[in-house]
Amino acid sequence: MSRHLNLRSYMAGIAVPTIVLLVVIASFMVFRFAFHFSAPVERVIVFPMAISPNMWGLWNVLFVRFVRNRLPIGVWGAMLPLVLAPMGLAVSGLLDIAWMTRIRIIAIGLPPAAIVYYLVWKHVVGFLNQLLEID
Amino acid sequence: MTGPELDKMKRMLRDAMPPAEPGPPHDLWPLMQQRLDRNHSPMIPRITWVDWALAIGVAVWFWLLPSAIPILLYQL
Repeated sequence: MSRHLNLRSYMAGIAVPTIVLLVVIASFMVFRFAFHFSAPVERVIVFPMAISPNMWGLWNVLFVRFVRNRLPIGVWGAMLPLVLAPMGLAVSGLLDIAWMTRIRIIAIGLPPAAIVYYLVWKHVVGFLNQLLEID
Repeated sequence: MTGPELDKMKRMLRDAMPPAEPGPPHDLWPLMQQRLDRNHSPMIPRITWVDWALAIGVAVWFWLLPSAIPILLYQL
């Protein structure tokens, strides 16, 4: 199964954030309508809906094409927040999301994100790559 | 064709054909099945103690700093 390698690796990468997004959106909607919890979801959702899943897919394509013989997949995945954080900051600045400040993202969000990404890439994306006979 | 002629024909045919090779000494299917299973079932990486330590560390981090949770969800 050596055909469409880029497509298969992209699909394996995009699967996790797509599923997580559905869960997060559903949970948020329940909170919003059941408990009248208000938040600017229309502005916040742009980044996790459009940019983040695509970056996961592209990151896995890069891993399969160039990195897999040099670095473990978990370490490669842990480096993704270093790319996503500046992009998230830029988008939050453009969309005027006040609580997403630079200090919050770097000091509070980046360390656990790197660990969570390490675990998810090692155990889930790596599994999907093997399932699709990529890795 | 009479009986002796048939026997002679059988003997000639048998002599003309190369002897059949004996079969494998054991059943090959279990080995084939193992190979198929190995090729088709992905290897699930073993969860090491480092992974457990990292997971516990993240849980503690989120417990101490709950504001990190929306930031992570925002990036994920």
